[in-house]
Amino acid sequence: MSKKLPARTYFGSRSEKIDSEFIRQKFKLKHLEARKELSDKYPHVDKFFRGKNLDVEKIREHSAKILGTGLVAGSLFLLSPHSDVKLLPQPDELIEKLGDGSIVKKDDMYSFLVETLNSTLPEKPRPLLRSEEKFLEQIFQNVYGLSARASLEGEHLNTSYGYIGAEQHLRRYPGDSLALHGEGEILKAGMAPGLSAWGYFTKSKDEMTKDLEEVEKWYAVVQTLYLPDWNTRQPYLKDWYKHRKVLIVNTENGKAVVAAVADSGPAAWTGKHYGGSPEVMNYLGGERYRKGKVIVFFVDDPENDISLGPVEANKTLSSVISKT
Amino acid sequence: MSRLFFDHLIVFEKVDMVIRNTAKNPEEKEELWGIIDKLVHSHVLIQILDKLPDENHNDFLEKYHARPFDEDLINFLNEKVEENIEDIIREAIVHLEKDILREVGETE
Repeated sequence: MSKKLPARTYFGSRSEKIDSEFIRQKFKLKHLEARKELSDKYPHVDKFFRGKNLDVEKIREHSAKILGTGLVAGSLFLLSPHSDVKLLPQPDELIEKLGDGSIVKKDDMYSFLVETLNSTLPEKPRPLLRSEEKFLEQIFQNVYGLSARASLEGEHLNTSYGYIGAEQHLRRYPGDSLALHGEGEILKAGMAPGLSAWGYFTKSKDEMTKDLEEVEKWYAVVQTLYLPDWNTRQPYLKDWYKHRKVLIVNTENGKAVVAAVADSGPAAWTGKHYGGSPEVMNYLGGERYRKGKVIVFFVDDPENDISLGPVEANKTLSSVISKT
Repeated sequence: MSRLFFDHLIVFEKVDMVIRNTAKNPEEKEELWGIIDKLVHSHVLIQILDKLPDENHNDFLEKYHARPFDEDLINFLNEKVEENIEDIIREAIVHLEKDILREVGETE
């Protein structure tokens, strides 16, 4: 095959040549310097956290545990008096907005959805309240015709509302190459330099199936590494999340895809909470879509009936609002 | 959501690129992400405590421990430091990223 590949846009830096042990040592040194500076200048910080039986560097896990407890309890206590909780619209309010509930154009349905999301969601992403999640579950059931849940089988992501960022194609088997992942614009994202958190999809090209091709094409990245119980509930959680179907809804335009979880990330300090394959991102927001606000819910699909890929909205407004 | 009240101020895309390009496997990638996370945390705490009057340190630590995710901590800090703490953190983070990239031989 002599197809010329587009230039890689993601990893043209010198770091391709840097040894990982070298950067580990450099990072560790920088971290130790900062840690020492903190301890030297403000020894009462260590003392304070010791008094709370908490390593100050475990504050992220501590935060996840507090939030997890609140989410499980469906409690409001986590939100401060200055919080941005909006009153959820009542079904009759939605009906009023939508007119007589007759068959509508698809664009109108997406407009309805975006308006509903805007009236429900806070401007800045944050963990949603159980009541907000339940409202959205009903909306999604009626708009997209599938069962999507913020919590499924007792599992819940650290957040169901956040920013998604563009990812690259994943290596599916040893010897996989970018040219085998489609053609045209979709290849511009390039191939991720490393393997996904679950490694290769198969041991060889011969073992690839149509289903696995679809998984790589429509994959999602979620922050399993920051789940409060990620380290204590293995291998159960790793198995549970592998290729788990999720519904991703772009809150700016109502476009949605069903994707399969196939990698872990992104890092907390990237300003993003999820990742999407080039195909996912292209569908959600177009070729230049790199980052945006989305809702991510698990798809309740015990019989594996729901296909990965774009999800179309229903055409009948009455079916959308009747059960909301 | 596993998050800290200042997470929205931290965007280290270039450092992330370095890690993704050099980590040999997913475990190593997550380990390197973790080191940077701790480095950022220490660095941000230093910036905050440098600006916050001593008499408010304990109050801040109590609030931080109780609700590490609560972005209202920004309001608390803004009241006490009489400067925009978000700008202070953002600026410090820009310098930190440059510093990290320089350390590993990456130029901007």
